[in-house]
Amino acid sequence: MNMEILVCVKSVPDTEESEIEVNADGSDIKRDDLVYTINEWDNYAVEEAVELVDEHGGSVTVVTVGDDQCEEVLRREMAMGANHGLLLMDDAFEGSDGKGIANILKAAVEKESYDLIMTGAQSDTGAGQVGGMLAALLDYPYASLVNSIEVMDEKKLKVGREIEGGNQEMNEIDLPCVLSIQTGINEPRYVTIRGIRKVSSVEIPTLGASDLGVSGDSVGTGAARVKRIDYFLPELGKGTEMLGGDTEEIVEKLIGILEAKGGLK
Amino acid sequence: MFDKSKYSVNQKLIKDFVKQLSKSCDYSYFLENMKNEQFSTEYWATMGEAGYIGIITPEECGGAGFRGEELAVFMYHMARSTLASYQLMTQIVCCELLTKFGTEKQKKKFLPEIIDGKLCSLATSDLHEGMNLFEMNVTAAKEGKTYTLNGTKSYVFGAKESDRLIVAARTANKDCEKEGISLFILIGEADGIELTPKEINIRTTVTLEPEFMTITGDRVYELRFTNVEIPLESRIGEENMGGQVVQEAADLLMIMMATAAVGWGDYVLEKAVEHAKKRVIFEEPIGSYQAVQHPLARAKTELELAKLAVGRAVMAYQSEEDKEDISIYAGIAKYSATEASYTAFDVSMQTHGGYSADRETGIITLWPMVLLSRIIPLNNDVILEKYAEAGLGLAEGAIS
Repeated sequence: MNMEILVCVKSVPDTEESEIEVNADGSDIKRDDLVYTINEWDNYAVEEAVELVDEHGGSVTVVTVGDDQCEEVLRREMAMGANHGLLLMDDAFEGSDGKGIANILKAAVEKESYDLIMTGAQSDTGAGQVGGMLAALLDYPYASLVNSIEVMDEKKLKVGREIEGGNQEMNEIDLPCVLSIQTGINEPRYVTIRGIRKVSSVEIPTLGASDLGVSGDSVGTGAARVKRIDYFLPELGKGTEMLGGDTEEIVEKLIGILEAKGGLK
Repeated sequence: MFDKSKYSVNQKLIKDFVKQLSKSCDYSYFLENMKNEQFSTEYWATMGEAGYIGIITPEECGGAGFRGEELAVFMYHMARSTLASYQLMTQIVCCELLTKFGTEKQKKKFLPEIIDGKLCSLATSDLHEGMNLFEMNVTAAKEGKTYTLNGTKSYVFGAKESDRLIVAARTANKDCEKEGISLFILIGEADGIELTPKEINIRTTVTLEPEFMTITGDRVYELRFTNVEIPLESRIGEENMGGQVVQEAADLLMIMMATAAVGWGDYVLEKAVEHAKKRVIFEEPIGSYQAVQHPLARAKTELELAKLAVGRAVMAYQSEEDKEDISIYAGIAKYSATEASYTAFDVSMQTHGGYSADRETGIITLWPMVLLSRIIPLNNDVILEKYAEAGLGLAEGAIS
């Protein structure tokens, strides 16, 4: 069987490379000079898709909603093995909430024929909305926090889900479906230098609102029904003590506290 | 050149690979291997799998076909993540030599396997004469369908671990003549080759035992050839014209060494700055005192200046400028970068105080890399001498 898989990916701030600070008016983080990278969960989803296609045939398309800077994450994932990239970019998309993004992705899904759609379980905002909303809009079955996938036949997958408390759940799910992928499902491969070369001259198609047939009242700031009204670093709670000094000093202080509280005898 | 905000997409992806690699082959991985004298198998398997050894090898030869800038970004971030090794630089040079001077048969046979991770060592430095081609006395005598190698090479990285060996030897003329050198590729464990590991002495507070490898797994060997017979088709390039090949290898090595040196310098300075911010003495972080601030700022200034020189050399190499010019810029870059890195290291050690001698901080273990970078492939004094002659037009000097 050939599987046509769409993986929805997102470009997110690289917290290892950038210091994340709240901006002056408290509406967002400071985005100047931020280094961006692929959302970690999405990278696992792409690896899983590439592995499925390696085994069963077909192709992997990676799609993102964003500006032209986001093309970089598409190229990264294509260098890792995805066959096609698709950038969904339009001024009208700016300020979309989770449902707005799901609306844009739904339109992209309906332009082609995909057997399987994957998202990361969550991204930098931690909302984890898009996968579920996309499935609902498409009226596709949905499984979240997926940590294993097995192809049963052309119409069905067996997927494992990570449950609270370390438990595992197994489900059969009909194709086409939407899965949100948990980290640890696989070990993402390296971005090879030949892969980078291969995709360096590939043209990545861009689709806007009119190409997708998306109306302005379903996406963007105007359509957003979840709006951020404040953004800040919470004050330290009562009883919180930040330990200062170098590592050795911090460890010494921590041991002292644990001993004082009876945690260490 | 090393401004991350100005990287192209390809360069960002290369940096991304290094970041990914540093998670599986992190500092503790190399430290453990060094302590146990184990070869860094996983590291080399990944390098082969990901193909970065062929970063500048043309696509038609199995590489990625990038040139200087991508190579510089790769080597800089590898060094900055303590992943750069002399062996890695050697692998890339061997690919470049075969690409430029090898026969089609040699390219087809050797390039794919080296790019895929089979190691190849480069033996150009004679035991006593070093890289002085005039006095190279390892010989390859031609007789019938074979050459016979005799003599001793020194400072050969990874000779024992390598499957292939590229050797420079005298095929004509006598000592004190630059012409008459040829290059050969042979099997690493051929009959008549005797290997002796050289100690890399980093006697730390952790162990007083001599080390046989650097933190990134480089082992150095002395190689003695006794009547080693090699077929004629093992020769790389024209007979007796190997001097030019060795010079081009040295130029590329110097550019990579310079790039790695600024990476090492940035790494140890970053560690020093972190330490200076956290270490509190007399109720203030030590980084608030000018006695600590100024050396750090001076070292960073020197590193930034060195990066300009490295950038110039990389561009000369990338644009295939005149060979003499490439040599000069490569020398300037290597000199300035390795000296700046050496200063940065010293300042970092001073800032860390006793912590610098603790392997766990990751500082002391880089010391041999930084130290050797001033000597390999050419001693910085030799670079100055060459610049005095070729760059300033001064007479060939007597050795003082």
